[in-house]
Amino acid sequence: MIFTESLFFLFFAIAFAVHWLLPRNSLRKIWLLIGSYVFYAAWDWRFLSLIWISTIVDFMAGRMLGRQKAPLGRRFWLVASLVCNLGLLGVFKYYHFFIDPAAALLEWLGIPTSISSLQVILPVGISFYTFQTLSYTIDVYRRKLEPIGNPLDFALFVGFFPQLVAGPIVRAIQFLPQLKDKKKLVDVAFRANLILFLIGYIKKACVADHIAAFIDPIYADPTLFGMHAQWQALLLYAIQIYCDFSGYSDMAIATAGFFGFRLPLNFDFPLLATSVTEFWKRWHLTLSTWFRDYLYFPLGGNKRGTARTYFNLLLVFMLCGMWHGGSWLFAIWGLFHGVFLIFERLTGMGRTSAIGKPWRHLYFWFVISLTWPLFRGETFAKGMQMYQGMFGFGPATSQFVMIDLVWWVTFAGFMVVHAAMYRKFLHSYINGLSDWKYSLIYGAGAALALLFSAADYQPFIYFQF
Amino acid sequence: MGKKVKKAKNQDSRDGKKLGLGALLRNVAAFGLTFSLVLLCAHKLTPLPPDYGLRDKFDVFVEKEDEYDAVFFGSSRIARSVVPELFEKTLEEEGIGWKTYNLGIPAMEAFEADYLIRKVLARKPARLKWVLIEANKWDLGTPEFGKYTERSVFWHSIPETRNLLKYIWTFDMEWHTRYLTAANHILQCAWNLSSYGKGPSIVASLLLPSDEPGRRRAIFSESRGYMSLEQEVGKEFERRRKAFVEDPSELVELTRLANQHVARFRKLPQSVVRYNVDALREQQKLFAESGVRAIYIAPPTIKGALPPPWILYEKGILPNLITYTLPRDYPFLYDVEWHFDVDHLSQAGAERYSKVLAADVAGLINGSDGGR
Repeated sequence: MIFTESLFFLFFAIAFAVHWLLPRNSLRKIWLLIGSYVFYAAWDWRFLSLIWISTIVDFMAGRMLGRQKAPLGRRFWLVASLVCNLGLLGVFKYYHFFIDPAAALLEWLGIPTSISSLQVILPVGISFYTFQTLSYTIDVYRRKLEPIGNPLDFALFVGFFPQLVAGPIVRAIQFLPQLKDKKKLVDVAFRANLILFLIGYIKKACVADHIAAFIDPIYADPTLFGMHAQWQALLLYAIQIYCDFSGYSDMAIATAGFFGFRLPLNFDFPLLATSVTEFWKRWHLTLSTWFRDYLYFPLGGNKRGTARTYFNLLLVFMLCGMWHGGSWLFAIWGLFHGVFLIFERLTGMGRTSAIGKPWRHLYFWFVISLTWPLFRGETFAKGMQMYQGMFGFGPATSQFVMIDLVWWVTFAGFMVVHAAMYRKFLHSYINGLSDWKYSLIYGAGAALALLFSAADYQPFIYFQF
Repeated sequence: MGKKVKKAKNQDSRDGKKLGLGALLRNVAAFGLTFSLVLLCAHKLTPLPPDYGLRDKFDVFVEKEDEYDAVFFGSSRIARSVVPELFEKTLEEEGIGWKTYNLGIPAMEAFEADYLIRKVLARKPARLKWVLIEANKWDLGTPEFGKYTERSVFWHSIPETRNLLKYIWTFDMEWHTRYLTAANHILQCAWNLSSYGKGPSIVASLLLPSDEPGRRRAIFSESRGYMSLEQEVGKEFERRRKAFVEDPSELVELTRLANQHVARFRKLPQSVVRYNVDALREQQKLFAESGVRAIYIAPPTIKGALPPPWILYEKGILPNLITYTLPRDYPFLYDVEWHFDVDHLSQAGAERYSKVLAADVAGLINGSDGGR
């Protein structure tokens, strides 16, 4: 069930109506929890057990951390939580990353093995909810957060359906206090949520999914396409992945908003960045700040000298890359970003306007385009084929990807929406409208969004992470 | 002061302000109004799918719709087998002066054909008196949820979906398959009515010149909807032809089996199950209201074809039925020489078949047996 699918709208209508018809907050929370599990079960009910394990372990760890006074005991419960969560992640996400090379080594040594033949399925959303629950245990350990006493509240924090499968990564400190508020329907910012959902829908269904149809054939076999098509595909991929992921985040934030919850911002126009440093202040904010607060700062951040700062940056960004999947390509993708962050620190590119803004945009787009083959490549060989194509070692054809009217309509729509959002034209205009005028315009906008949706649902790219 | 009053009024549904029932209904109505209006306009402007020249073929028909006395509907077994010009020539020899159009489309099944028939009749073509329809299966085939094509969606109008749902309820299937099949078709109907994803084709049809002379369009215009498989361009067609020329044994074997089991083939009671009797009855009502008469045709094919609905003819549900599915009766129609592939006649085969069909139609119109 994805946000752009008709089944989701049916699910949402029932969830929303029953939620607000229920008289008490406690009943609403139970209802939301049931709804969230149903939402997840629509993907694969078997993996609900992983969510439950994560929920029980971290709830218990939090309770024990609250009771324990001795540092050793507290550390024990923190480590228990880390082992359990990262263990689940390791088994389900990084199994092949660790096992396949080991199996290859054993084979090379002449020792027969069949361990790598086990196909482990990646449970959707595991990276997101694992990081959420970890944030709870670590914050309780750091005494930044009181352990929660109500297991139901904690289960809802872990399983809340709008952000369950692809973020934003909500921290306990942001979410748990909201569960204590008495929710009222009149407090729901309907206009803001409606427009945010529509914008997210347009980004995903009208832009990202249309682009997929153009560039998927190139990435299916990069050896067939020349330099022009490769660069064109990379530029389009940047737009696709941004619209896909930020579209999901927008819809998730809006959906949560309809139930009276606030989720953190996840994107801030990252494609308008002028440096890699700025990019990470605008892209997947809940992940980058998670790594900053729970890994980079504990490692010493930039307070232990230049060499240590650079090491920290490289390590954090390599792990940030690997968060996306158990593949060396993601690790190199992360390292690549880390290297450019260091380069920008050394040259001042990330901070000052050493060169004019248009040049800095160009620099950023060039660098970011260099990283996408690692991210999109799926395999090392395919990533390399994409690089070969980009730098003229592919087929000698100057053909661009065939782009028809569909693309131009889609792209024009995207530019209009993006410019309107960036310049806040849309906000100020919409805020000035009376309710019935707003409803009229929204009705037309929603109809147009349906008309210009790609007729084939594409799964969200970040579901695989 | 005035400004302040206006601001407060504008904020009636925003955070922390209670929205009255009247205001809520007004907002919902306003939303519904523009939402439906835009979708309604879009639905009117949505072109037919381009698959196999469906859009072009229909457009070419519309250009001279008032000139035709009879129109053919059906799958590739009609589209590739009936040459209107030769059909008319033979009819004329029998004293019937018709002008016809072949609106058969490859892979068209009965629900889709029914939709197209209704679409044509709704236009009230001035001279149209006969429709010649392939007696085809009413397939409930359901693609994966949400994985629909333009072609699978476009004919899901409300009457057609209602027909489908009625048929699903009479069809013998597991309850969960029944509900899933029904839900799938309802969703396709919703996609169709909302013109989901059709925006780009609407824009293209409005911005690009509609009379762009495409190759297919020129052929349809020239030969009144007929286009042989030999005229198709593409590797798929070359491959099919080559495979058949190299090894036509499948057709030979199917023909032998059909001849061997001819008695059983004719009497198969299950043939009726795959024909939607209610929808066929509704079709007859529609024809009566529109002042047209129908002839159902079971074209010459064995592979994948259903036994023709003789029982329905005998029960009077089908007014006229002509069948060519028994190789024994029409050996040349099953001869490798006249075939393009296992399922389809070659251009030469189609030319010959058109004359045979015309003679049978003439016999039927001139008063001989209405079913054979």
